[in-house]
Amino acid sequence: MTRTLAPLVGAALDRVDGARKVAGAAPYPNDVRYPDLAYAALVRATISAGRVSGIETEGAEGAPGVLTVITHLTAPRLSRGPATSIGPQPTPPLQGDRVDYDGQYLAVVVAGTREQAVAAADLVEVRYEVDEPVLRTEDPRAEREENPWHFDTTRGDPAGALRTAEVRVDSTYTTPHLTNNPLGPFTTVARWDGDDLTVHDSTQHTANTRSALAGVFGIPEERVRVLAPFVGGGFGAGLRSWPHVTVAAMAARVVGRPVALELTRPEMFTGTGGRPSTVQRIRLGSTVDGRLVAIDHHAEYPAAMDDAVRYRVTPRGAGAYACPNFAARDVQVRLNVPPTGHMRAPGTAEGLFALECALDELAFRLDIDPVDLRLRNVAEVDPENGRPWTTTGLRECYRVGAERFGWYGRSPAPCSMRDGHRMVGYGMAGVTFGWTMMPCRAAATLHPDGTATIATSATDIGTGTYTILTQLAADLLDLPPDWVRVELGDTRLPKAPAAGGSGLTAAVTNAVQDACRNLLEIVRNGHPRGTDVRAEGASAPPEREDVAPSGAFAAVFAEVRVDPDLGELRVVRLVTAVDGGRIMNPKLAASQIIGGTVGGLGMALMERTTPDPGSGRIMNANLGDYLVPVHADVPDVDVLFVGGPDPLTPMGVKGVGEVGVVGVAPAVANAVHHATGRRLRALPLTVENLL
Amino acid sequence: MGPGVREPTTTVTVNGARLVANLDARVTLLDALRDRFGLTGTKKGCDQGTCGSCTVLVDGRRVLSCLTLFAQCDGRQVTTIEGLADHPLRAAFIKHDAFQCGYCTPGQIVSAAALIREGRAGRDEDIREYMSGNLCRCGAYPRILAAIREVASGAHA
Amino acid sequence: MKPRPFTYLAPTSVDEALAALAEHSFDAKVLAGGQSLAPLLNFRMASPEYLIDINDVAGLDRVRRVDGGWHIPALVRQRTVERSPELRAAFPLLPAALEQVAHPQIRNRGTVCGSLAHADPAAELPTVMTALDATMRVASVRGEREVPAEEFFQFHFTTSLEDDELLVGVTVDDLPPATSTGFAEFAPRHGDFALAAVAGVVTRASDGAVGAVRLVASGVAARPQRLTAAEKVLLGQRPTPDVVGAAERAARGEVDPTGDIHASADYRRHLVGVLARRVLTTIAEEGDHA
Repeated sequence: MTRTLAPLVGAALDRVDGARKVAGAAPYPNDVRYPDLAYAALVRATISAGRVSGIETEGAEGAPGVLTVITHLTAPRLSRGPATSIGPQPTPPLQGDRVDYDGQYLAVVVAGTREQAVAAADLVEVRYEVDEPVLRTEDPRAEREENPWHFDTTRGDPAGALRTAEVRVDSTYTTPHLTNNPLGPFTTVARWDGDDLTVHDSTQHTANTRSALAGVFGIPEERVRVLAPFVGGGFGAGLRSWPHVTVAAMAARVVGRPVALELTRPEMFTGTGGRPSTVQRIRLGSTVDGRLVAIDHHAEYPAAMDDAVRYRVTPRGAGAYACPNFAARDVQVRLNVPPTGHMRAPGTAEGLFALECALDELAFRLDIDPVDLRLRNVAEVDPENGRPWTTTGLRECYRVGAERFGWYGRSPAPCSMRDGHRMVGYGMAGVTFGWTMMPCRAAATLHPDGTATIATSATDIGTGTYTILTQLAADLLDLPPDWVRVELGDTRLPKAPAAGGSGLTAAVTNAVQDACRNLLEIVRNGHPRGTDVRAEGASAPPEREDVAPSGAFAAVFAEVRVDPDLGELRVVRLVTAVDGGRIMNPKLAASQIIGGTVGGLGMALMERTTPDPGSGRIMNANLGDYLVPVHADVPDVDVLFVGGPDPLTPMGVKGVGEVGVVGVAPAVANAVHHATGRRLRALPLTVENLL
Repeated sequence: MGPGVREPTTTVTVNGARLVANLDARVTLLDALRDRFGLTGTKKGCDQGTCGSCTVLVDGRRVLSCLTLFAQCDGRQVTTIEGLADHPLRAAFIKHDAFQCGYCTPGQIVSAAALIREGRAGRDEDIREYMSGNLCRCGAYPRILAAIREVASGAHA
Repeated sequence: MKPRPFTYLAPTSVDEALAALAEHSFDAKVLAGGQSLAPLLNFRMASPEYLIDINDVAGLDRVRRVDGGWHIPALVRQRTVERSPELRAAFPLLPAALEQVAHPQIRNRGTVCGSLAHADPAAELPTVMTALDATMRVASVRGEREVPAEEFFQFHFTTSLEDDELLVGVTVDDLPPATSTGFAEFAPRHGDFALAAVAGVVTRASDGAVGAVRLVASGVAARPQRLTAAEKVLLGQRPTPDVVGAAERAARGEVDPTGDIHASADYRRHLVGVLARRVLTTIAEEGDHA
């Protein structure tokens, strides 16, 4: 490296896209306007299983302003795009009469105005042959797939170790189906120019949307351009290219005009995935002095009928503790539910909720402080392969977090702390997060006026990518930050991976660093004056046999108050200590952790997508009944960063987008036990279960 | 046209500019601003009055533009985020990193501007309470609180 | 989402509004603040052919003093009542309840009468107006009538308003001397409809015993429910902790809520007891110190 990373990398630079966002001037996909833009509205299935026996479109076709109505009878035949690292593409829409879930798209109406399209969609009449849907994992008709993605893992002899363990915990935990609910409704604006397709899309992965659409329509990827410079949040919902994206592009092709398809809030619940519900059984074996001798973790969770998402719950705990005997088993159960997806820390948030609550049960059983129990079982090396972690900040997270929180001022016995008539509880959880990095490309261009442009197809969904790349390039190229322009969210730019899996920052910073190094090399070797100088760079996950790449670590501490009469539960204080490797920008990184913590609070206290038990229809598909935290629900959140650059990659970053969410629900559940003596093993931690 | 049926022409003053439009009676103020007048700073998050992203000021009071028909705004003064160009909340939101994806931000700022003018931003618990109609799914609430507190106390000056 | 097409009418007088209602009755909806109606329209759960916007109707936007009470006409916004010094002084129940209604953006447009006419059994205002024994002023081209709150609210989203009638205002009589009021509700998330709420109005006799009482719960029935059994326990008694405890048990025993996705029936029953106790305890303390 020719330049040192200073003074901007690591500084609390303001968000460089902030001025546009506070002005309402950042263009999200639903802000895109074309002069001849038409509007699409969807018709969705109102049964969970069966087939469409008839669909009447005459009324809609004759309604004012309607340009077309497309159903499975009239839609062009489509292919399925290529699979990605997170699994196959969703089933192409409008290709048959089968209905696999309530909310499945059955028709699209395109009209000159939004109001006309929606009014006409209401006139489409659908008749069904209804089958009995499979809605519960316990249903004997449900197809079960053990070890569906080959992530299951076993080390040692967990069954034997459990049999002989001095102390055992055996508990079952449940987590509900959750819906990401980014505030920006997912929108696709599609426009064809001959065989060239341009889409403005709410996606976290422009390259995936491009390859999905190219595959669907059988055209070369080069003819598809996907734009997502700003996205109104994602939290994992934008990792797949959902059926509405295809519908919008199909509709635009049929009407020969640009078409905007903006999902309604209810459609967001069935059309953009979510966190699947889980039922998890955990068995722990321990010595009387708190050494874990066995962890056996089993999880079952639903998958949609004609869909597949690479997912893992129990294997997420494999590296968490130095336990010689470990088993992780996942089972996917096919149900008539909407396609599942990913939601911030997918699998990890559910799996570690169960594991961290079970450890609290063990700590209570052993009469050992929960922090001390975890410290006795810290995995100093990766227990899966014995390799040393590239960084090990977990102990530091416990120490610093406990100190800031005042953990040791806790009176250990449940029900022993009070504030007036309210019961007070302290709880905590530890987090070992997985490491992810995907190949990435970026370009750096130096302009004759001395300014520079950094370009990559990655999206910034609010994580701060624009800003940290500005900081990085300014340092590497020795420019003031406002001389650096960062272009993102466009597939014409060098290909980047998804803004997901907490892996983008490592990938994109290392690629930009490489591009800047290559650029400086060209500049040093001399170049014609008055022209742009451009260099590309790339990064790829290092192949290392000697070390285990460590993801972020965290320790979360929560204080709760419980009103014993009402059962009312309030979280009054949260402290999270995080080892995130190199922190590119402490202000923005802390925002990520605060945001994750608020998401975790929703998971702990209120979020739950509730299907009707008989029909499978989601009963609370709106933001009035699907509760997400409001301002008054959120207490002070204290974030501390520990550790430093991780030696695995030149940039030394680990990613902090998801780790913040993971430990909150178990820390709160454990605090509830401490406050009340009640062990709640089901999320959300509803008040009536506290009475 | 019978008695009481108003001419469909609606005249609204938006951010100081007089706008006259003859729209389908179904059009909400939100869709009129976004689809007809190109003022896309006001955001649609739910269209059901549950998220606050579409908050605008009508005659100085904060309202949800998704629950307000455009035709109801005849003769009214509407202020959107675009009309708060010089408001100190903008800088305070940037300084305190009071947003991430930025989608709820226009609604938060418009709502906060009204809150400060209502004189109810003196205490943290009041800011939390009276900003609870504006969801932030990125979870920036503690930062939003800090930004509003600073502007309300005059500390930004 | 967008409503079905409708014809928009904007009468400028009560008579015009009533004429339009008479003409279109069943096919029309009255639009005041729109905070309950607009979501129904946007998601096509209500599809009127005519929308009668009464916002331009003159004379309906100011609270006024009437003989022995206050009159709140149809266009008075919830926020206006919440912040009115006169009404805050006269009926502390009103701001106590209104501060719990949704969020400021909603209360700035939402009207008191609109919430009453919408008759959501989980809403605060129908409960409070029932506790205050308010009188609904109802008009149509056929004439005017007065309806006590208790008769006005009939079922989920159903009032005694006929299709051609307009709720032109609500009148609340001044509280008698030695009267204390209280309101308590519980919602798991801020600003949401309460799982249950209780409003109480208690007038003490000169000996400190309860001379008159109205105790009303929401969230437990298809309309605001008077807790008559609990009221009977209180009548003629000083509200000692024992008496309040007995009233709590009576309240719990007399409600028969149903469960839904937000709370079970048992939990709602429990809540009504706790909330009734809290309201009565506050009232008792206030009365004892008066």
